[in-house]
Amino acid sequence: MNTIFQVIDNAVIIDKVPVGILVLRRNLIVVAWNICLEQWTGIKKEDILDKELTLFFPHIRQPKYLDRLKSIFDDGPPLIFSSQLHKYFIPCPLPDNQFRIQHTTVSPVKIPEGEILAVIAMEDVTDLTKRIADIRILHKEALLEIEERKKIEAALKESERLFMELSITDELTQLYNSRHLFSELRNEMERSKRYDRPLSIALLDVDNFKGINDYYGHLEGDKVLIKLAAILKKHTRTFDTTYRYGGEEFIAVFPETSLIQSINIAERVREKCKHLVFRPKDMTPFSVTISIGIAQFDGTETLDEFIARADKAMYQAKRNGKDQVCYI
Amino acid sequence: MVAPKDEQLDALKEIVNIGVGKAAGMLNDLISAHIHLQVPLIKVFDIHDLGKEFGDLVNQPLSAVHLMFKGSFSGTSSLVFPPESAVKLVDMLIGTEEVSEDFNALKKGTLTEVGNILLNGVMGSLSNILGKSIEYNLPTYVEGTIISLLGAPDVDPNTTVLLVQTRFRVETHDIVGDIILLFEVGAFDNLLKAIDQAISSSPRL
Repeated sequence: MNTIFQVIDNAVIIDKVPVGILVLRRNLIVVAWNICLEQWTGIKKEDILDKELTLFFPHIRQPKYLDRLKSIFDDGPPLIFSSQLHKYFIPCPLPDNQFRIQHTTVSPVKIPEGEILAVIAMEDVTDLTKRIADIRILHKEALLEIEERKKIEAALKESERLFMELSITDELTQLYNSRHLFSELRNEMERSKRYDRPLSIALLDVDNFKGINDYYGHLEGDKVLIKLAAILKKHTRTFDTTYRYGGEEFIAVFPETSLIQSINIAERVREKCKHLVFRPKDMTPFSVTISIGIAQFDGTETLDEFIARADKAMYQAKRNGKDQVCYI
Repeated sequence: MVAPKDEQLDALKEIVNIGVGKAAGMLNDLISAHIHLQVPLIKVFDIHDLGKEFGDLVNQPLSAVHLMFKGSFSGTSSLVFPPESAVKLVDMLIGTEEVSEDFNALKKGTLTEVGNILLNGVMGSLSNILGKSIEYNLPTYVEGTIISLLGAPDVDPNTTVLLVQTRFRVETHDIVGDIILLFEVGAFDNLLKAIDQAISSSPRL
């Protein structure tokens, strides 16, 4: 065992290490204060030795320090004050107004008189802590950037969705789409009622389209739809409007047009379609026919009922052997 | 190994309870969250049953804080965390775990302090109540499997293990840790003797 004087004489050694070292008696009187601590705190040995530590550093009176320090003097095990849970044991300002981050250990040393001294050693881990803080900032920035990108992507998707919603054109055929059909047809029906004018529609369906798709492939099927759409547009009048209604179904709206007149237009379209020849590469050329159902607005029905009548007529044309125009 | 009698085991339970309770108070002060510590289980067994006692945890990497002690009874007290608990605890105390050597150093420091507080509570309570002086080394932090941490080849096969399973509850976090005391040959018998003395002399126990 060491005498108290030997422990203090060890100042020769403790002054040579780059670790803050101080030794306390039970009443928290400082009995050793090494040069490292002088440099860190600016407090000279002669000013602090034999004085109570809490006069200089009142925070030590907090239970989280004092209670644990007391246990040392009661013959308890050594103590660790880690840098993350305490930052520092003795505040030592740095030029940038920050404090030295310390990892502190407190060990009891017994002297022959039976007294226990607390040897407190503070390791400077400021650089280490700063490096980790830097890594954290980078990490946070990276996360923020990812977040930002996600937001932009979401906004892009939303505007795409909005665009789709606002769009009135069918992408494949460049005819109007069914959404546009509903709003336009509704307007035409209103107008027809108000001015008591005739209004007709034609519902066109490609015959055996599934077979064409299966045999020639979807790309060829798409070409058929594109061509037929073009014919439909070309052979209707300028004030008629044409729509892709579903997969291989089209609708033409004929304002100011009676049933008889619309049958004529539909027949013209049917003829034109029939004479079209498709020549897929390395395969047999083929033609397609269409079945058409016509209905004239009765002035009272709803939009759904109106379209359903044209649909029914179209099915009648199918049942009658396809490639023809039927009306209700 | 001398099997402890029921009253000795009860006394031991109370001593550990007092120590862990004190430690919980200190941890509460330190971390501004309420920590609840329970002592649900105390077990005494031979070191060669270590694998059996730890079941599923045997091959898992664990984090441990060791505190070696010498004196009337000598041995090592350890706080052992399963990996998820260590991660949760570090996460709660210093933020999300990162894979870097620097961060490992901080993690080590933090877990060492938590282990230090808990083990000091238990050891302080043992030495105070039993009136025996104990000398300690500085606590150390290690990672490995339970066998590599405690059952090193040079450990005497007659070593007695005192397992205290403590469950920490930190608000919504479920952090579990075990306090394990290894007593060198003869040391556990000395501990039981000291307990007997304490029982006969103190009205408290």
